[in-house]
Amino acid sequence: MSFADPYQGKKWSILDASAFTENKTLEADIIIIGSGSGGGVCAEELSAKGYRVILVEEGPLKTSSDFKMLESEAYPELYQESAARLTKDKGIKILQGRNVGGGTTINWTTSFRTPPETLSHWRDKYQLENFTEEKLRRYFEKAERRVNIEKWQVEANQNNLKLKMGMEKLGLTAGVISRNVKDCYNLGYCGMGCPTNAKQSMLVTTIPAALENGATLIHHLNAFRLNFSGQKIAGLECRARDRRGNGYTGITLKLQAKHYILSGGAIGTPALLLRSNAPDPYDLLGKRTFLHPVSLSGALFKDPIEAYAGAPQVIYSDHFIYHPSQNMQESPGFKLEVPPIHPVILAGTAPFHGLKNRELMLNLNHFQTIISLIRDGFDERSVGGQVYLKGDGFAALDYPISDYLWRGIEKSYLAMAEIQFAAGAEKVFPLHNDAEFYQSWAQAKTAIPSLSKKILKAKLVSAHVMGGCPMHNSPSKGVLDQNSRHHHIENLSIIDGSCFPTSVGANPMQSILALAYRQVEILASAL
Amino acid sequence: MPSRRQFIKLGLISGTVLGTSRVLYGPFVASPIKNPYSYDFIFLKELDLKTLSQFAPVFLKGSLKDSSQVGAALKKVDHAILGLSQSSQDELCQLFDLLNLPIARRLLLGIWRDWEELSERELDTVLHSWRESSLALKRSAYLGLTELFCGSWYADPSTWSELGYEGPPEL
Repeated sequence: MSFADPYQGKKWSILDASAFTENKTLEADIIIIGSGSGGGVCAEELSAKGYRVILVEEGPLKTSSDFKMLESEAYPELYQESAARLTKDKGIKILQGRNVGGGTTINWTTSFRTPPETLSHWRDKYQLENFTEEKLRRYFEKAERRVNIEKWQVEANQNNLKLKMGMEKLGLTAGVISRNVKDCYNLGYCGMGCPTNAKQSMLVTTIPAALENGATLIHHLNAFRLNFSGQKIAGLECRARDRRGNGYTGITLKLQAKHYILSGGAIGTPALLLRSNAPDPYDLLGKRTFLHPVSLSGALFKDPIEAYAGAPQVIYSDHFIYHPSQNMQESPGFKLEVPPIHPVILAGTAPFHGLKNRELMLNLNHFQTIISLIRDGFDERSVGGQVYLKGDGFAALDYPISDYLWRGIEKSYLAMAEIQFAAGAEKVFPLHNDAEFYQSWAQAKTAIPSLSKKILKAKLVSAHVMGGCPMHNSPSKGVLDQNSRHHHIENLSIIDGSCFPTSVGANPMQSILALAYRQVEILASAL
Repeated sequence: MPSRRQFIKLGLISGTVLGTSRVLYGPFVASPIKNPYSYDFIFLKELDLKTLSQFAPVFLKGSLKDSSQVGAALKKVDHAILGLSQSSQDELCQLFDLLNLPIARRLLLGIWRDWEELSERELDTVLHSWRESSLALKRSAYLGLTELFCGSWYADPSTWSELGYEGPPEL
């Protein structure tokens, strides 16, 4: 079967900076840096209002006809640092998109409105009084319509069903996830780019619409430095990436506009401002960066799991965040979901080598995994990380793990193991160097508390980077006001995951989409 | 538990030792190098290949059918490294220097013999000691190399059938 590639045969203004042979200066009304959920929405909305928009993306333009459902191609082409980006002490691996469409091209389509508990925390602690469910409803709905977010109707794969089954056996509740797909073939390779265009990512929704409206997309272009004149940005210096995307060709571009929107994500956006020596009088920039650090628990089942096939994430549970029985004074809450499991990711994530690694791989079809997304940033003992620049100006994140977070991680290993045994697992293995394949819940329960609370012993990952340019109406407490306008730079908005003052406590795509619809509407009326 | 001071000390020593050895061994060249395998290597240098060829059968025990597959395993590692950021590549370069150079290996890892002189069993013990080490540096070397060797091995569709994995569905 062949699927129409929305980019083929179009006369859109798309420039590949890696092919440029001379330096250029380009000008527009609005320059948007980053083409994920924030940048995609802004590009469509502003181009529809007649503004001349340039959308800048550091990664490549890869479309459905390029997506072959192969890890060997997807990780190096579509992810930051080949899906091997690490925090400073290498304790947490960060999965982030780097392509036209950003995270939305490669995420697992899991869509949640911002949890009401998160919004009320933002109102109480960060003076974001407009962030109520009622005031945001129409933006959440707009996002739902635009990218077709609907509760998934097809039966979950076994990987997901085991989470549901385990929760039910324990008398706990699990829910069904909403996904941004249309006519989905239920393949399970969302993380490698959707070959059927069922996933309603920015790549197939807002960006084609913006291009149709006359916007210009420049890919393979790294936004290097903003230049200031007084309180305003005078221009943006960019460097062309080479074809492979890891080096530079030496070609530079100067972009100039009336207004600039940063949507490069919660590492890229603060890093650009740091490289630019942007005003930061209260030393807030890049701090309080959150990750939803993820712990993992594997389990072997007798019956086939085939965690690579079928919609990757369908079942979730918030029991360990919001249920009254959970003691949030002691440790952070965590959201339970499952990840898809493909060969490269399993062999590379397993914390052992040789015969043990091979034995696990031979059990690929029977390996089930639950993940816990730790809800960071809601307690003074969880202050997040700090984006900083390496010597060559390359962005990185320092994210130390506090004792408070470690307690949440321990609790998550216990919860996941109990659920997996309740679902009928023969063996459960927390992904931790000290752990073994436990044979029973009783054994796991005794052993898990003695797993050392150390980085590079516990396998920790993150697919959600948030914060670092938080909104707060007081300039001494936030980089942005609650409309995403920078407190100290007149012609700058930041519209991406970096705006959030804490983590979201749920997969952030829909929160970013809704935020973007709100902020860009306010921006357009002010311009 | 290692003190922070110890860790910093290790960092300083490794910086100095590796800095010196880079001077001794000259700059690193960027063109494919001569090697005993039927592949071109872009990142890995002669000494890296010599060292890693000892490790490949240990990381991939059971998966490598025989020594003729060592070159293929190293080629996959080489290819995987090329996708990493410049700073990760620089760090790997340092790690390989540390493994390659006798003086660094003795001072920092306490290993006095050449890798060739260690049996697979002894190398396996070394890997386990890194895995269990109180030094984050050694644990990160262990996990990084495991990911490079084991992850890249299974990127190849020819490895899938014995896993019972049919690969992506036909559209």
